Amino acid sequence: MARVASRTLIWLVGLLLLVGLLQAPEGAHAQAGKAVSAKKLELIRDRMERGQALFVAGDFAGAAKVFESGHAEQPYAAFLFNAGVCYQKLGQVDPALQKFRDYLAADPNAPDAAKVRGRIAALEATKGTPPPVVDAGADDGGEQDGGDAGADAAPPPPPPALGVDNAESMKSLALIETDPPGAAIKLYARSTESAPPFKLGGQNPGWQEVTKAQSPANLTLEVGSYHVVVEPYLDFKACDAAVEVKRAKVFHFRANLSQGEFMSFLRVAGNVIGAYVFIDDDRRARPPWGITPHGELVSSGKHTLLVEAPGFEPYYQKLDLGRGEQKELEVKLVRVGHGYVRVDGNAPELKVSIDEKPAGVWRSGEAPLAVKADAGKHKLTITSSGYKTYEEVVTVPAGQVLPLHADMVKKYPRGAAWTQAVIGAVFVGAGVFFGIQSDNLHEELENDRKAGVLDEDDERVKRGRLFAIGANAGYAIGGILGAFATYNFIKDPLPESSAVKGKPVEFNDPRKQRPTARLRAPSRVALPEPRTRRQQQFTLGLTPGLQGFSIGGRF
Amino acid sequence: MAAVLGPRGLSPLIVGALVAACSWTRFDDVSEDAPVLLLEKPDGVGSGFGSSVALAVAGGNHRLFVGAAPGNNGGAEFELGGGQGASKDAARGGHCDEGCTLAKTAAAMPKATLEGQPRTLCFAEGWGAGGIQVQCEAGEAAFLSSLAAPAGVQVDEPGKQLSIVAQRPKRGAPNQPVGELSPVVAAGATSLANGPGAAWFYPAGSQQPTALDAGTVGPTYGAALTVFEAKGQLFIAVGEPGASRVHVFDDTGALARCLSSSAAGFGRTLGSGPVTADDASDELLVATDAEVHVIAGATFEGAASPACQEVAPIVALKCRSTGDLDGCGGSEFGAALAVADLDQNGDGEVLVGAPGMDVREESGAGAVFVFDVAKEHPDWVLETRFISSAESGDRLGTALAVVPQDDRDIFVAGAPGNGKAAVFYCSKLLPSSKRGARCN
Repeated sequence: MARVASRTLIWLVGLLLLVGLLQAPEGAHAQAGKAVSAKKLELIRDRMERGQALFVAGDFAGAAKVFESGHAEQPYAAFLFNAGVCYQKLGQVDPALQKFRDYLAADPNAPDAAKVRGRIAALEATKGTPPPVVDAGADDGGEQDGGDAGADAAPPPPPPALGVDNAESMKSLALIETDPPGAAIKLYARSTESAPPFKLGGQNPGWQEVTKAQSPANLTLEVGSYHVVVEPYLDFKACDAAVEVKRAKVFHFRANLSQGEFMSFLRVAGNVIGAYVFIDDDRRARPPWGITPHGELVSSGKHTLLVEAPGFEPYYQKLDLGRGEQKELEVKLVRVGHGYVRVDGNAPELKVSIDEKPAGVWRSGEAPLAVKADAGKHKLTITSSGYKTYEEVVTVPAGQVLPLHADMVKKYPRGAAWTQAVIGAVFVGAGVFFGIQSDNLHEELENDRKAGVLDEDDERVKRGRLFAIGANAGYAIGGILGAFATYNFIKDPLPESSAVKGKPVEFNDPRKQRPTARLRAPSRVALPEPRTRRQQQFTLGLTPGLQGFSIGGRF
Repeated sequence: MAAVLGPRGLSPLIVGALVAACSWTRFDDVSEDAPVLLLEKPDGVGSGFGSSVALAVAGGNHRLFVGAAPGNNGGAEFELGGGQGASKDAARGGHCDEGCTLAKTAAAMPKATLEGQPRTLCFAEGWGAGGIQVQCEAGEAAFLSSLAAPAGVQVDEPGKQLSIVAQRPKRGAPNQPVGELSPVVAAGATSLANGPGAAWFYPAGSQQPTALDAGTVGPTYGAALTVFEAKGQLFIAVGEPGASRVHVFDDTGALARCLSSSAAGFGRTLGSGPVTADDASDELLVATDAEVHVIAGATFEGAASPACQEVAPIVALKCRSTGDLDGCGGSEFGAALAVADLDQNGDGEVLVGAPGMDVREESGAGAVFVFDVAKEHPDWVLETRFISSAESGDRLGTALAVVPQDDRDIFVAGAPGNGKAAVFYCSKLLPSSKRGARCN
């Protein structure tokens, strides 16, 4: 029986060991069971870097929340450690202790597990409470409490002093994958500054193995130089890659075991979010590789990068990525040198001119008229029959569209002015006529006087006097009416035509155009170029009308 | 228009209109002291006012008689004064009214002895009960007298027309009548009933007629008369236009000359005055149907020659059309004749009335032609006179009277067609320095 029991115990121990062997990596790297998508990876990276930024800025509470949210998105242990540091900085010992304990629970084989235990002890010491009974792994017990629980009550060693955390205290995250998965991974850290470069299969003095795991795995690493080695697996040979860990970063490694090398990781970000990234596809024959910011594993070697976005000049760059290289590019896209003014208005028809040159006609019911112009200041003139002309110098944004809604104001009616002008002109004309007649008569009378034949009773004297009075009356009435007409021509109580300029918007993105039923006009502009090669689309419109809303469609 | 000018273009128009405004007071300026004064016809004067005019200058008065149509009655006196400030309103009316019929021409007698009493400012104007009616000034009232007609002459018979002329005053002494008391007055009466006409005169200071017997004469004898001087001797010319003759008598009534002409109507109007440089004699003006002959005063010197003979005139004045005047054919050129020194050069200019002249397309408005026979071209029309307010049928120039002024002569022309009489003050012949306010 004892032998049977002994054999049974051996089997059980062996089974437990086997299970332990199989489970250990899972237990140590609980979230490394499957590969992370690029989108997820970008989200993780965002949390990690944003938390780091808040930490550096002194917003420890905000940083803690961001790290916690990152952990909620993807339960990588690095988030827990960083959150714990934040709480520690806040003086919130309990949450800090909880995060560090969770960290150790999530990744008991973390390369820095011993240091974390020391930190926990130091924190607990600050609370005046004895360190709890160690229930963690055997390696923990050796470092932390120095003996078994049942040992003699020798006085425990004093807890390590708490160091001062700074930005360098933030941990980074390394995601290591293999294809196929399941390969054993070893991580070496440079222990001495003068250590020569790591050589696969070599002695590698100055390098120390800090952890091992099974792919896929996530490792929480502090700043430093590392080397990751994938052990021979199945029929594949070993391969390795250097890792230079910076603070609070996310690194993504994938080893293509069939090719015997690590893939490179390329991340493209820049000043434009949403720019399209093409790798080795200058002709854009394939869908974009990604949309900025975007990071993804790519094969090592030479590549051509194309980044473009509507309203920006295309950006080209040639890359030569080393094995396992983590390349981050900050691409600064430059706006194109032209822009558009998108014009519509409240008049039935608008004639638009840019710098005195006709630029097009917009009619009510049509899509706004997009007028292309070089970026900068331009004289915009909008005319409409019966409306006051709108004229203004507008600044056409580079690579963007300036929405402009013309609020045209009808011309003030000039009927009264014209009537007064015409009647006034008639009176002035009559005055001129009478004046001429008067002048003629006066001249005749003068001549007769000089000839000595003028008599005092000449009826032309009376007639000429009446003509003169009539002329003056005509001038006076005409002048008064003319003054009224002038006033009524100048008088204009109505405001001038104006325009409401919206905030510049981006160019239309043809990659995002899809036939869709909309309730409102699209916010993006149908630019002339796309319009010319526009395919027939069916759009369903819901438009307000006098009797309510109507639904219609058009091709 | 505002569309062309634009709203702001109206202002210059208004300014221009105001600048071009006319002054009506300039018509007051041009008509004030006009060169022609139209005399107002007083109430009670019959039609044809302006048919006869005569001027008497005495005692500083320049009294103008204006009569109505011959055969009609009524006339008025106007005081013209010696300067240019004449009154257009009548100074005295009541001439030749009841019982009087006006003569074709009237005679002025600045001074006269009538009924044994000296009278001034008298006018022999028509035919009254006792013969030729004479009306003189007598304070507020009027003195009426008459000059008896020769025996057998009955002027008030139908068809007879009376013409009366008087000796004209000498130049330079307008207030001094010729003779001791009164001028010679001559009269003539025509007979349209084919009976012979008659002519007579009254020697200075006499109211007794002396017949002017020219022998066998026709009914037009006495149609025109004039009294003139030649070499200090007084002559009376009587026209007989029907026979184209002019009979010239001396101051005794004896026939001295008989002038004949082949021109029809020779003698229908007569006038006289010094129109040449010959100061010793007046020239005789004789109108024919179309011309006015100027006959030298020397013609009448020497012994009498009763036989009729043609005498060559110094010049034959003819009607001329101008820019304002037209219609010489029916102008009755020569209907009235006078001699006046318009330019104050010592000799007279010939004034010829043409009452049938068209003036500025006004038919029969009438005009007066001015000739200066003493000039190099004696037949040239130097100027014409008409009234600026001429109307059709005015017949200006039917009668003429010379008005001596302080320094020159002006003249009056009757326009009986529309009852007007106009005083013409100005002549372009006069130097500008002497024209006065009315002529500048």
